[in-house]
Amino acid sequence: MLYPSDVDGRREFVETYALGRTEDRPAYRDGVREAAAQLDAVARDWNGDSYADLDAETRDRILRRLGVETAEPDPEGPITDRIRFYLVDDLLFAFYASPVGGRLVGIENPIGYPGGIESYQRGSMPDRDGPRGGDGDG
Amino acid sequence: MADDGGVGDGRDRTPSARADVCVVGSGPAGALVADRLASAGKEVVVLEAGPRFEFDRRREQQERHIRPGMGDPWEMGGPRDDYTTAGKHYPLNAARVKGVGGSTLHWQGMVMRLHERDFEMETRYGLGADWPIDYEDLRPHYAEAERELGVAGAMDNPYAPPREEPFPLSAFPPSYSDSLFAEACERLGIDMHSVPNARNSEPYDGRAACQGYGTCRPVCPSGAKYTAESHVEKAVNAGARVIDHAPVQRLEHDESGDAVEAAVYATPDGTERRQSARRFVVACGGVENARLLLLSESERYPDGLANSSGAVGRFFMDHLFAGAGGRLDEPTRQNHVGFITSECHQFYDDADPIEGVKLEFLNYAGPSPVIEALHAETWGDELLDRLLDSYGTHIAMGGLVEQLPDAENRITLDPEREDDHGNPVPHIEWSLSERTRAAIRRANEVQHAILEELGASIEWTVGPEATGPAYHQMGTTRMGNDPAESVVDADCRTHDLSNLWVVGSSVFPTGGAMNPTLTIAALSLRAADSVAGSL
Repeated sequence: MLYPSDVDGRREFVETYALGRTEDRPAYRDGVREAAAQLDAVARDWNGDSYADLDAETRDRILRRLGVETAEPDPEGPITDRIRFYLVDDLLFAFYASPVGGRLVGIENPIGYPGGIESYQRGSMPDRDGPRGGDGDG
Repeated sequence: MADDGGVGDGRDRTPSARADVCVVGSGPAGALVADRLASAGKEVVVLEAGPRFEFDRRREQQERHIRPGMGDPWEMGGPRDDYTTAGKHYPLNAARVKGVGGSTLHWQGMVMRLHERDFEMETRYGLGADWPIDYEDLRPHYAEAERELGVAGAMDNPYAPPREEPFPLSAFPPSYSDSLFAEACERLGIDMHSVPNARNSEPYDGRAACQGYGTCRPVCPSGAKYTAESHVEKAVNAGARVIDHAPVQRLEHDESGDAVEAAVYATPDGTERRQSARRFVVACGGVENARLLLLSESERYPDGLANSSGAVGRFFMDHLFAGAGGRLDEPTRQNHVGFITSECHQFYDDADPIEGVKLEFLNYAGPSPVIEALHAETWGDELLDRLLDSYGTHIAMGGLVEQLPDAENRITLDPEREDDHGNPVPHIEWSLSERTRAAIRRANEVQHAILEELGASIEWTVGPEATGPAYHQMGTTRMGNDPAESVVDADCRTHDLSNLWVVGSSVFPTGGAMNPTLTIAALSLRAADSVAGSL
């Protein structure tokens, strides 16, 4: 539920792109794991089920009740701030710094992703299914 | 195990035997001097206050820039970098980087030559100070600097000072939003032209071509943006030694006071070490250059080293940002790249105002969706709606405005506060004159005229009140012919000490309104010739 509802392949995106991004950063990966485990514990405590097994609406409610939407992302802060940093922001960063998220907003090469040098002269975003580089790329 | 000074990386940080040249600082000025002298066979030791930033961590540093909560990608701040200000606040640690490569690690990479008038403001207008050299003196060094940095540019700027040779790399073509501006500017009789960028439009000098990550400032993960790491590496390959984590505490002179004998640097374990050399080149940036000379006071020089003129630390200048922006009722395609592709230098040489004014057509107006998403207090469909509403139609202009030298704008030592080694921190006194404010207003007028002609709804203006510095610290060890009024001569050698050079924008007597790094590079190459000739 962090990603827009009509995006296909969200799980696949998370598993390949988002997790692959931090493969060589063990301390960061540990932070992600620990924040996820703590969020899971909260879900079990409040709803009797692991976070992943809850429906989207309940998961959303848990995050908002924890105050994650207004939390300051902080890798060393209290659990709410760490959930914002390691889980919410991590996934939002992976999504909106990639063409998958960028395209939804109208930018096929968002900052953080290489390729702007091909797209900055174009007046419109080429079709998703079109050739990479789009029109005028010769 | 080598004595690594407490860093923990096993690299030897003990001093070398007496070197030919000791360079303090490894930004563009120090790196170019070190490379030039090492390549000429001189024994060179470079002392750098900050760390080496390994290139393979750039993607992670980029993430630190984009994501809140990860800290400064270049690790500025804390007791090492403490400072105080008076007057208009100067955000010093946003304005510089300590590390191998210096502030080119986070710069955008705009590299224009100063105009002819910039060297003779006093003669032409009775304002500021003349440089002891003119454009023709620096012209061959500008060409050399453009080759060293790898400048992508075109000969389409009718307002640029004279040049013969083309740029080493072809210019980046205009952006889509430049094409929107072009129609409005044509109707107003305002000329647009390309921007010289120290950024590879094609592979150059062992570095990749630009890929468009969009985060040039502060992190280029492709290596296409020039950083002085490039010349540090060349210097090392030519035999120079670089000691990082080694902030210089003071320079010590000989008994007669005619020459510097040693640079005393400290390592993180608190040990002070002495690097002796035949020649010394101070290259620590516009604030630390002055601070190091002031910290090096002695009985012979109670007001600081090389300061018999009293000018060390005075005449501190920066360029002021002027800008305006808003929205159009059509897509503007912003934030694909983090650099600009069109400017207007048409008003630069005007006499009303006399201050130089340079206008920029931005390619990064409005929020970037990913940064906005990370600061939003929601997610999911609600977040997407918000991003769709805010991205897509922003348009903006920026610009730089000249600040004339004023002795009251200055860097001193603050006796009330100490850095991590117990030295007084720099104190920055900085304010804007009514002249500067008027020049900013003039820049805003032109920007508003263009945006209105374009049909934009203007939503913001950065004028005389909201303005801030462009992070170009200049003027604090000014160059001149008269030892009573300046710190260094035309070769950047101090008037007072025969074996001491100071390089960087601190030597600029006036600053124009062009980004300073190409001029820093040209002067440094010129100074390197002077150092080499003295050995």
